[in-house]
Amino acid sequence: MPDPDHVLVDEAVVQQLGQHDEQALAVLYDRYADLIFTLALRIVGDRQLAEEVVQDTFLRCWDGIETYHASRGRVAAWLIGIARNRAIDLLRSRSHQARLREHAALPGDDEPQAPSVADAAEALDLRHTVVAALHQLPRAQRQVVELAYYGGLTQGEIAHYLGEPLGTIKTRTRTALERLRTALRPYFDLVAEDEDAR
Amino acid sequence: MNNIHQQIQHALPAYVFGDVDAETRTQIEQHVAQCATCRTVAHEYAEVTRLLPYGLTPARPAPYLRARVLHEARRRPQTRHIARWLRQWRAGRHRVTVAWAPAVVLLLVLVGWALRPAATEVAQLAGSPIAPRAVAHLVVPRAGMRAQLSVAGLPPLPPDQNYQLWFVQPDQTRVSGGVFQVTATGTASVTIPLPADYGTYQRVGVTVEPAGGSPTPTGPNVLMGNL
Repeated sequence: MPDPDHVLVDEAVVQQLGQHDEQALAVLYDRYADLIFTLALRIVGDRQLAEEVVQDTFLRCWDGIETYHASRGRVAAWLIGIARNRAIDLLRSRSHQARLREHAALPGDDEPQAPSVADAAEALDLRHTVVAALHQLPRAQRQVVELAYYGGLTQGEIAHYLGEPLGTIKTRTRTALERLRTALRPYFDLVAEDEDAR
Repeated sequence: MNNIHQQIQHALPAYVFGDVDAETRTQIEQHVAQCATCRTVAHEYAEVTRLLPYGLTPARPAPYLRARVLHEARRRPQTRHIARWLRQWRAGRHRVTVAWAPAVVLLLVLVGWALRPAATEVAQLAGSPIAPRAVAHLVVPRAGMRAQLSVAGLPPLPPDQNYQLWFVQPDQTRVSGGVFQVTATGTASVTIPLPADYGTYQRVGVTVEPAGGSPTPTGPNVLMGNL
């Protein structure tokens, strides 16, 4: 989970990864394997498949370090993007109806679970904030975000699944993101204002 | 807000969830590259999606997975070059005998190493006496005009002030690299446009300036490092 010190050195670790430094891969794994596994498990709902996603994610980093562009965001965001795409690819490899059934059975469709006392102290604050931000959303808004993010469903598929008009789903998704944007802003990475933007 | 901005911002939720076709993606990316308002919205929606996994109940993969990943990684560069050579050999592009294979594989490995992707340079910035806990790294790609600045340990500033990054030439001429704020926890990860003559600069520093920045440094220095 995030540690301010990681902000400093992740990019340097990735630079070493570009030289195929195995120790750099081990460092990245130690920092992010739990987060990647947590995300993958939430998406695919199976520990073995989630471990497959973790392995694929780090090996893709190893093979394709050139796909990392520091200007596009943190290393964590890069890893999360790779893992989510891989997990959703796995999800999409099954039949559509089975995917929806499996997704409906995952715990995230219920109320977000409160952090356990076993969580690392430094992760608790962010976790509490994210959970609280999701809690403040009406259930229908939280549902569309979770179906899109963890279920990998398009907005058209969500509309079909919920039996609601596409326009309603689009508006609901945007409203939810606006609320989350406000609630989570203290944790955002900030983008420098270019000279032409001032 | 005019129509194009509304259209783009209405499409951004689908964009950040990876739910747009290539044409729409290109249209959005071209627009946000030019429009600071829509760029901010796109960035912040993307930040929401980056943070969502941190709200999940933490889980941990099996301990053996770490060793398996590292073992697979160790094998991969070699197998990748061998696989490429075998594909070319099967296609008849190499008129060599099997006896040459080890030498050719070794050559391919060496060529692959020599042609590995261009790396980046990292400049480390240390805190000044008034910000002794501050540290930062500026990651500069060898190709490209934008660098990434990662900061920690800087105190958040009031709304009427910004941090401002400066590139410093040997004659002490300073050129602004942009302004930024830090999060409530004192961190920032910001994109910095590089000066066209970046190679002529020797140092980089950060000062506290009025909101929006200054043409030349006016406030105290909080970070400094060599390029």
